[in-house]
Amino acid sequence: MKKQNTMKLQLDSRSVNESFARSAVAGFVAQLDPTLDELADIKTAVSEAVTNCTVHAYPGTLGKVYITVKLFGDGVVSITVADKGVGIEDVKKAREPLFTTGDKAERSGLGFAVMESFMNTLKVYSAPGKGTRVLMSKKLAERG
Amino acid sequence: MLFCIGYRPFCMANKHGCTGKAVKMASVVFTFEENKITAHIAGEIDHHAAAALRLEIDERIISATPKKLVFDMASVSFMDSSGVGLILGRKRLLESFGGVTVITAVKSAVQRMIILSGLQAMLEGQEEIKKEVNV
Repeated sequence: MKKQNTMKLQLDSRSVNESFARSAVAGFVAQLDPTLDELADIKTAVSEAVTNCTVHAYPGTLGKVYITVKLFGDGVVSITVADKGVGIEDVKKAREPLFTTGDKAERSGLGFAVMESFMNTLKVYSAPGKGTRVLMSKKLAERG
Repeated sequence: MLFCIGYRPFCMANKHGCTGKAVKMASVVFTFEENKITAHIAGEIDHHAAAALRLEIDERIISATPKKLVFDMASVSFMDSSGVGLILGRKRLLESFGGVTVITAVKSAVQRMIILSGLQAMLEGQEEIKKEVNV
């Protein structure tokens, strides 16, 4: 699994940056010639991860969101979305579908479930006060 | 009637109160029929766009208290789970005064999110999507 290309992006945790973040990642992944469905899956997963940073990581303040994308020769896309925010006390609970600490009337609680479903792997590293690192990967289908 | 949500790149400044600050977002146009409001949403629904859409849609709903709210998704090119929250929040609001909420014209880009979140039951038409099982 030879690394082919890498991209790093650092953003303020403003909600207006959510669309830029997913578009930038999609633009970078495009060089692997993904299908439209694969690209839509990746955009959605990135949008969920970055939204978590804007909604949960830095309550009442702004922080940074760090995105790293690695492309591998065998068509694997690896994406890390990290923050230096408040962290998650119970990662297992946070990953349960429908669980949310946000506004229950407006937040679906599906973020991690979507990342898990739309990508092939999902790992979440977090501790209170230590920020959160979401590592996800997707293997693109062989083309041609 | 056209209601502009926030700032749009190609919006003529001052036409819809836009400042022309360029960020592509979602917009919504409403059509009103007897006891029914249709929200024709265009663009990408994420957490940022959903906040503005929610305000616009709720304003219409609360003043008209329709029996039915239709989310027309024909021009939605992207939706993440914030869109699910938006739809479910409006569904609850409609239910509070006995109204129903349905979703129509879902394109493939949005279809997986609808299925994953179990919103198929709210689809009007598109029977083929309803049969797909949440995986």
